[in-house]
Order: sequence, then structure tokens, then C-alpha cells
Amino acid sequence: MWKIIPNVMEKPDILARSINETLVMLGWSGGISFALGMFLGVVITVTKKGGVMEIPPLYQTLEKLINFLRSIPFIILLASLIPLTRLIMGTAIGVRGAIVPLVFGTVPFFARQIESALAELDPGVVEAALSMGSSPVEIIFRVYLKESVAPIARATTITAISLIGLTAMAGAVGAGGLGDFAIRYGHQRNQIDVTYVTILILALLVSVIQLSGNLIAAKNTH
Amino acid sequence: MITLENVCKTFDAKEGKVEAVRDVSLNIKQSEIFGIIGFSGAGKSTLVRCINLLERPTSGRVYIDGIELTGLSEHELRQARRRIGMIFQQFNLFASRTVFQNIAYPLRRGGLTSKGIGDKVHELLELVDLSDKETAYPSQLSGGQKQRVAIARALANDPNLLLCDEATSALDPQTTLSILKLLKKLNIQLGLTIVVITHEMSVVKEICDKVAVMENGFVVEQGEVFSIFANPKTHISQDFIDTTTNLSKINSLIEEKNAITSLKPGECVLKFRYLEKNAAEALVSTISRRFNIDVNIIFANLDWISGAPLGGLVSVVSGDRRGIDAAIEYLESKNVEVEVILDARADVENHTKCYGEA
Repeated sequence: MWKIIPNVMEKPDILARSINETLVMLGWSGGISFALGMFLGVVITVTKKGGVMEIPPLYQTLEKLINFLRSIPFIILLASLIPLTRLIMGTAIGVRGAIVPLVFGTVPFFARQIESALAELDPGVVEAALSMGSSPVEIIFRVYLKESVAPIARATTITAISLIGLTAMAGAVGAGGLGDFAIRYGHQRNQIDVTYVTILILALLVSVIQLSGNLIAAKNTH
Repeated sequence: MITLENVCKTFDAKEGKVEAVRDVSLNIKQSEIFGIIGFSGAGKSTLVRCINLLERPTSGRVYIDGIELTGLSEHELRQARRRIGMIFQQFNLFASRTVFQNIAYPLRRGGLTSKGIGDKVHELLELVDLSDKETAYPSQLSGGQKQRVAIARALANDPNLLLCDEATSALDPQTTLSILKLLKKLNIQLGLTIVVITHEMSVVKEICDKVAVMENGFVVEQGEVFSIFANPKTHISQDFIDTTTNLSKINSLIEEKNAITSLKPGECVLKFRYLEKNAAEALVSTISRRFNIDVNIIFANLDWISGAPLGGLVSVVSGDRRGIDAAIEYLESKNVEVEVILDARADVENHTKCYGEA
């Protein structure tokens, strides 16, 4: 091992810390984004024209907000959110400082993914539920969400994987993580084996997420 | 039981306003099977959605069991909808739920224990003859089985009204028949009132007591199925009836100059239509014996509608001129409509008994 990846073997503690930082960022921002994005995705689905809780002004507003946030490149979002991050988290650097921009970068994307996942549901099924006297809230939980587990699992997989990409960029605000590890040692100090090991670890992480997403989707497709 | 009063429904489309339903008033009685027939785009699917207010009428009122649905709050309306079952052309089952869970869906609203729900679901499965499919998913079922599940689900809250939106249009003829039989059974066994939306006259003929014919959003004709079949007043009703008989094929045979239509002198082609419940009488053999004429049947179509025979036949009649005239007179006295389609009798004058299109 020392011969193949000498620079990595020199600092296993830093590698371990970087993996941990990446997982912490992923866990927190992923969890928060999942909840907010799901909520937003459901809201834009049901409030649009013809939805079960039609509220056009709300839909229009959210629609524009999502488009606006999605149009900002993440690295710029990161910089522009510094004051807000400081306000919310008390600091704009480190893992804590990265969570706010990661959430802002992920939620609009995930909301769109959820919207298209829910749009896969046959409108006839919603109509059938309405004809049985289901309320809008019942339709959200017992029809939209229950019937869309497979497409939601696929949407979550795509979002989680793109979130891993974002955490690497968050290294720019000193958040650490694997991306920061690879840039600092692999690129800046020309320790090429560090870069390759990082790539392998990220590939492994992505595979695990993709496999579990596929598994959940398959289990819920009948 | 159901009363629609001047119901109108207008949609705003890009091309301007679309009047899907125009000033429709209907009365549907308890335990009746009421058909609404029309070509696609006639507004029948919109009309049936105006009954349970899945589409809120632009104007007009809807009453069910004396309650004005159009005057209810959203919450009250949801309560009312639980007493109105509805089934659809595409079945609209929950794909991620088993047959059992699909039928249990409307039951899981509190009030029932899980054992109570189980018992009810089993009872419903038995009713629709699908007890062995409880754990199957919809994708594992045939079209007919899916519709049976949908019917069971629609009946879960013991409604007294079932709305069927083209419920058999996606099924093959045999399966259609079995679903129609099931609906008829439910109608008799449970006293269920059923509204059937369809574009197939054969469906109306099979199970409906009354029918309304729709065209361009209007109900152009309505009444007992038997009397509409016997005596349609509008062109469109006649068109629908023609789809269920082969009698009008004689016209294309004449156009094609088929050999059978080239008459010998003394022959004529007649079309008889039974207008009353007398087809059971042996009319053809009676006239051939009594008036000494030959009746060669080319087309015949007899159907049993609302418990009475209905239909007619097209035949080449040959014989003595006086015999034929007397036979026609005799048939008319028995309430059989006689139409002379082709005439090659000796000394043809304008035959006074020649009927135009009914």
C-alpha cells in the first residue's frame, strides 16, 4: 500500500476526517433539503391550475422563486449567501457554514424533481380519490406520496448524487470534506494518488446511493 | 333520485369558450339503470361529472335524494360523494396497492376496525366474484378483473348510486358483457341506481331502462330504451340504433347493385319493423300462408330489449300484387311498420303505403 498510495498512507487521519466531513454535510443538508424540497414540490403540484388545492398566486410566486434560485451557479450562491449564513448559523465557514448554501442549492432542484415525480401519477387516479370523497390533504398523503414512492426514490437518488458534487465545492468556504482534501493535497501539492483515492471513495459513495435508490424503486414498483 | 335542472358547463379554452354541457335537465329514478349515449365530444363525460360535482356546473342545479349538491360546502360535498360510487374507462386503480388495499382505501377513514375493514373487503370481493385475487396487484389483473376491483372499491361505502364513465369501452366484447351482467346483478340485488355513460348502443340495449341521447352538449332525446329503439325521433338516435342492427345494410347492397336486389317482375323488397311487443307472433308464416306470397328473408334482426322483442327484417316478397298489398295492410294492422325499399311489381303506381324514413 505504501508503494501504491504513499501520500494517502501518510495521513490516514486527515482522510478519515475528510470522509466524515463529507458525510456530515451530506447528512445535514440532505436531510433538510429532502424535507423542504418535498414540501415545496408537493405545494407546487397541488396549487397549480387543476390541482387539488388550486392557489394560482402562491403557485406563480413559488414557481418564479425556484427558477430564480436554480439560475444561480452554486459557487456564486455560496459567496452571495455568506451574510445570511452568518445570521442563521453564527458562522459562514466550516461544515456549519456550508449547510445553508448547500440547502439553498439543493432545495429548488429537488422540488422540481419531486414535481416531475408526482406528475407521473395518472390524473385519473386522483380523480378516483376525489370521487370517493377524499380531502386534498388525504390525497397528498394517501395518493400522491404513497403512489409515487418509486419515482420519489429515483428523484432522491439523483439529487443526493448531485449534492455530493456540491459538497466538494463547499470546500471553497473552508468546509473541508473530500473535495477539499483532493484539491489541497492532490492538486495543489501534486500528490496525484490523493486525487485518485478520493475519486474512488466518491465513486463508491455514489454507487451505494444509486444501488439503494434502485432497490427502493424496484420494491415499490408493481 | 337524481334531478338535474338546466345544467350548463362551459370551459375556458384557448380557442374561446367551449360549451360542453348545455341546459340539460334530467330525472333519474331510484333503482333505474339510466344510459347517456353520445359520440365522443358530445359532453356526456362532463355531464356525468356534473352529477358528483367533479366538474362544478357553470349554472344549474343538481339534486340527489332531495339534497342540492350544488349548494353544499366542500366538506359536505365530500361526505355526499362517499355515497356516490364512480368507475372509469381506465379503471384508475392504485397501482402500488394490492386488490385488498385498493378496496380498503375508502374504508380507512376511521369508524371501522381493521377486522371490520377485512370483513367488508371480503364481502365486496365475493360480490364481484374476485375472492382469489385479494393479494394481487392491478398490473397482474386483466381489464375485466381491474374493472371488478374498481366496482368493489366504488361500492365500499354502500352507495345507492353508481356512475359509470365509459366503464366497458376499454374491454373486449365478452368482458364487456360480463361486466354489464355484474352491473345488472348489482342493480337487482342491491337496488343500486346506475348511470351508464357510453358510446355503444349495444351497452344501452343490454342493461338500460332509460336512455338520454346527447349531441353537442344537448340532450336531444330521452325516454324508455324500448320506445327510443322502436321509434327514434332524431337522426342521431337512428344512427346509434343502426349500429346495433344490420337492416340498413340493404341500402348498400342496392347501391352495389348486388344480385339479390335485381328483382324479377312481381317482386319487391320490403322492410318490416316491429314497433310493439308482438314479434312473438308468427307473422311471416301467417302472411305467406294467408296471402299466398313468398317471403325470402335477406336480413333479420330481432333483439330482446327491456323484456320485449324488438327489431325487424328485410325480405324479398313475391306473389300476386293484391296478395302483397293485403299482406302489407295486415302487418300494419298488427303495428308492424312496412317500408317498400324496391318495387318491381306489375302495374306499379305510386304505392301509397310507401313510408319515408321514420
